[in-house]
Order: sequence, then structure tokens, then C-alpha cells
Amino acid sequence: MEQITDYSKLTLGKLLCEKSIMIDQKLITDYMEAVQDTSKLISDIQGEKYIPPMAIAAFGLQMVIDFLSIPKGTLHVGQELIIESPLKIGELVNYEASITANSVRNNWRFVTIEILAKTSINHLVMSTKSTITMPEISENP
Amino acid sequence: MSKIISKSKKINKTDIKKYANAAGDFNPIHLDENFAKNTQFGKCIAHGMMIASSISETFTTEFGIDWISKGRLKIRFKSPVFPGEEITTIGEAKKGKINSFSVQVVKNNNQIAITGEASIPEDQEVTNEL
Repeated sequence: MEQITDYSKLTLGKLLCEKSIMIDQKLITDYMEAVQDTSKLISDIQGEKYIPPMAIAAFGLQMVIDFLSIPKGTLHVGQELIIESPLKIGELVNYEASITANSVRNNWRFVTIEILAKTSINHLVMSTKSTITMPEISENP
Repeated sequence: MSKIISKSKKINKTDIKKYANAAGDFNPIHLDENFAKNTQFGKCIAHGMMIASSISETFTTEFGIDWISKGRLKIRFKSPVFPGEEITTIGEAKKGKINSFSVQVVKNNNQIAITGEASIPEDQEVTNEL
């Protein structure tokens, strides 16, 4: 997939990037320690634990941020999360990202990224929308 | 349940570094004081998703499998959280609604860091709307 650094050229609705991530116990342990999450992980009847939903969203957003090589100082201004089903630790997550809004206001570009997180059998786990804003660099100062 | 209040947690630089490593987000606005002093905030700030995780943690504690199976969340990041500040998540039930809450993450100086809505739809009303 072509790397985009001119953010005005981000096409709405088109698949921007995709990636598969194995969210394993180590990743979750590190994540929960960092966010000081002391809640007990929810388990299924076999005792297999589920991934905290915000971790699924955070790893997906990071995939897009890496792909877009966003400028230093970019800010996260809004977040939506629709959880469709829980996902167990150790399962593969397939992320697909697309752009749903891209506009400029007061020299700041606002980009909304929709990310779908699916299982290896294409079952939707979560859809998210993240709005980020970055300084708009004019080509004609 | 009309009101949910989380335990407060203090956000420090070490946590922010840990989050950067765990999530892979090394934006210097979170980590580099020299860079951050030239931004509108003047110093490093915590990652938004790090702060937002406290909402999901709170709702997981209250609603368990229902939250992680079908929860909905829509939030705006209103003000940054700086190292050394404490945050508390508050969920307040909306009038006449079941499992639909206004949510806020409030700092110890009473500034609102995050505001928004969270809900857990009943099985027969699962839609994409909050």
C-alpha cells in the first residue's frame, strides 16, 4: 500500500492500511501496567482471558499513526468505540483502516480514521473512529 | 446504578514512558520535554488513549462481560493530563435511560480531561448509535 505524507490527498472511504497483530499476554501485561489498570481481566468459562477493549483500539490506532508517519505534536481530539464481541488474549487481530473525514480549520488539519478490528475468521470485534489533528503546512505561504 | 466513580490514579512520567513502549506511540509531545516546551501545552502530556483507558476500566469493573462484548463509547479530549496530575473517571446515568451514561475524566484541579457518553445497549436495541 502506498505511503501517504500529503495528508490533503487522503481519500475518504478507501482502505488506507491493514495489519495483523497477535495480542499476547506480554503485550497485555505491559499495557495494563502502563495504564494502571487494576481490574481483573474477564475470563470465559474455560478461564481464558479477554483483552481490554481499549487496548484493541490503542494498538489499531498506532498501526495507522505509524503508517501515516504523522508529524510530531499531532494531537488526538476524539475517539469512538463500538464493541461487537470480546476477543481473547493470544488471538490474532486483523485491522483495516480507512479515512472518514479530512478537513482543515484554522490551520489545523482534522483527520478521522475508522478502524475495523476483526478475528482471523473475519468476525468483527470492534469498530473505532479516531480524530487526530495536526498543524496544516501550506504549500503557498 | 446512577453514578459510578473510579478510584483516582496519579499519572507520572514513568507511566507515560511505559505506555509509549506498550502501545508503540513515541510522539515526542508525550516524551521529550525539549520538544514539548515549544508546543501550546509547554510541557509533556499523557497519551489520550492512556487516559481514556480509565473509562473502559471503570465500565469493565461495573459491567464485566456486557461492557467488553457490546459497550459503546464516544469521547472528546478536552484538556491534556500532565505528569503529576491525578485523574478520576465519573459516569452518571442519563435520565430515563438504562445503561446509558455521561462520562467524564476529571483532573485533581477539577479540569475536565475527557467528556463523552458510554452505553451498553440492551440486546434488542444494539445499533451503531450511542
